[in-house]
Amino acid sequence: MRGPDEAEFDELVAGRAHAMRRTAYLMCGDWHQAEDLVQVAFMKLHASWHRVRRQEAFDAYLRKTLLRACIDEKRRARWRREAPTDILPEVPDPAPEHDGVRAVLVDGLRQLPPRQRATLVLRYFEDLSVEDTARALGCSPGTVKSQTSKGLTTLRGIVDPTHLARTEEVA
Amino acid sequence: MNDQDWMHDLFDRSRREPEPAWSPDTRAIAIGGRRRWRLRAASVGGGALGALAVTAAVVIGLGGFSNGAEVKPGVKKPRSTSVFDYASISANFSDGRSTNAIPVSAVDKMSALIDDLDPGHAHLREMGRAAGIPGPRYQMVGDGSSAVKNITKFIATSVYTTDGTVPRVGSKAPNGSLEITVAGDTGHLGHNSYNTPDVSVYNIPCGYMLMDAFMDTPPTHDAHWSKCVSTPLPDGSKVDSSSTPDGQGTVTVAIREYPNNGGGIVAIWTDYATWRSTLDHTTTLPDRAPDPSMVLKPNPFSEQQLASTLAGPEFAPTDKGKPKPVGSGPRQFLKTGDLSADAAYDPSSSSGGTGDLPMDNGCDYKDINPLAKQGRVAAYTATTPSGKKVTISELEYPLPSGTGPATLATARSQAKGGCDQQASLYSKDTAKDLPAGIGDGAFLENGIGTGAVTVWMRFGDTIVRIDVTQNQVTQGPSMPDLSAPADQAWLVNVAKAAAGHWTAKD
Repeated sequence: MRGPDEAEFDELVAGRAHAMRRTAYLMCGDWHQAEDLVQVAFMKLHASWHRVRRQEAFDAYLRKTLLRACIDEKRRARWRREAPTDILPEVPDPAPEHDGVRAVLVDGLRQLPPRQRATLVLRYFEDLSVEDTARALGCSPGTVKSQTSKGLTTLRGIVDPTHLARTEEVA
Repeated sequence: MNDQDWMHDLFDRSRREPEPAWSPDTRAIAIGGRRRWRLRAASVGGGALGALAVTAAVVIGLGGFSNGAEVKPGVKKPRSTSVFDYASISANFSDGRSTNAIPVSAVDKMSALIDDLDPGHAHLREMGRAAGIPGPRYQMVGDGSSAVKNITKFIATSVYTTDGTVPRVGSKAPNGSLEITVAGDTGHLGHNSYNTPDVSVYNIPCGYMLMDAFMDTPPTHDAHWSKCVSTPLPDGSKVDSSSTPDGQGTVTVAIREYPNNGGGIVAIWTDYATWRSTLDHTTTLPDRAPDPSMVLKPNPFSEQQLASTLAGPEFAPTDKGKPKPVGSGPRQFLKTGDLSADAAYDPSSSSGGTGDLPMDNGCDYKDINPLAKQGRVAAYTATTPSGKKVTISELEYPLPSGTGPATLATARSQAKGGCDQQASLYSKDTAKDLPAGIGDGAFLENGIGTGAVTVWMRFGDTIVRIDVTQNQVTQGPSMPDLSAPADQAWLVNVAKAAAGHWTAKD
């Protein structure tokens, strides 16, 4: 048996993919990149199906793989950034952003260090406990607590309350 | 609004905003996954053989199972075992290690709800039986058993049928779905302690984030939960309930939450066919109201009925007694005697392992990712000589071959100050060498920016880190003040003890 049962796997993908995309989007701030990261996470699960299935740990595996992919992607992006070119590339106009609370939130999250960002997303978006967050990030519960506190303080300092109030008016 | 409420509010509001349409490409995933599997099997000697051996073991294991359960000798039998006959059971594990053990109290409560709602057992059924899928054989154990200490919750799912006939998968006959969750603590029950309790807002009924249940079952986005009805009970627990229309269907939630972070039981009742129970995901779409023809009429279970049922004595809190943190950590790790007279090993915080080695200084983030393999983690509580209550986490980081010295040098460099980020004063971080002879090099980081006093040690290509932190809730998020000479000496002794255990492999 080389891979998962197709129907079972499809059901798992259908059940988890959209929630994972939301998490990935909060981590990376780009829907297309988030979709790619989710697809990659599921590919890895597909390849490791029997090992993970024995542990019945799909959610933990997918979450860890996705977070790792998000952090790796960020690291690779640093290498790609500001590569010198002779010719200025043509850049398409950015798609109009929905000027809502999500845009404000993602903009703020992007200014946090990756682990603080991941900690906030896991604690307050995925609603994981301190212990589960520590396991997902491979750190101590104490670190999760301190990262949470710092992340919250920093993010609250970054997010402009007047901008946030405008999103409420728009909504 | 405090920071936590503010953060939750932001995430909750962001959830309600529209998202670009997307469907995951399952075909591409399968192709990519198979390619990865082939590459790994080809590149890792014996990998394919290992996979075959494991597959055989699984087949043999399943062959020996039949639906049902046995009670471990010496354990009190449950009053009813209906949950094994009329529901599919799944469990969430805190560390990925699965087990077929189930506490008697969880069996009692889940079975009692099935018996109360369907006393003649004429309607609730387990879907797996229709497909001839045998369930695992469970072993019922005592609530304090170590076999279930890593289980965060059990979920039992039943399909409600009008005539007792289990519908086929994909059947669009009117049926309902009952999901029962028994959780060991309030967090895993879904209660968001930062939300105002007992209020139904957005898609959060009564302040409970029932993400597992609502992630893919309508109503994900368009819920209009009724005012939360909350009833306190004499034993200190309470029953909350709320419901929301979904097209012509209704979703009802009733929760009995136990006091003192004791967990509780959740019943989620959907009076229409869902893909979780009978439909598959191709025959329904998330966020779409159910086909009216699939809604049960009349609705057999009202919100009031579910709430009053859960208020019954059979769902009273079980005095399981939280296991006290005792004993010692893993082999080669610190022993409680190294820390203080009242030190305790905390196994509930010691599962899982290290994923990568972060070395953050606020402006130039560095890490080792991936590690050569996952390292171990152990957590302890102790009191320092000056009387400070602290948490101690010992973390192991197996590094890629030959990178140990350079990585410790990077960690030392990162530990010596950095850039401030709002309240995180990395610039004030300091590093101090520890006496020679502790591993292959050791230093102490006073991490004002990280909120931890950290001992770093290297043993070849493995770094061992000991984080000393204080209780954030009672003592604040800052780094514990271990500047007293006695505490400084204690830190050195802890480092020496950790190195000694590591080297002696005891």
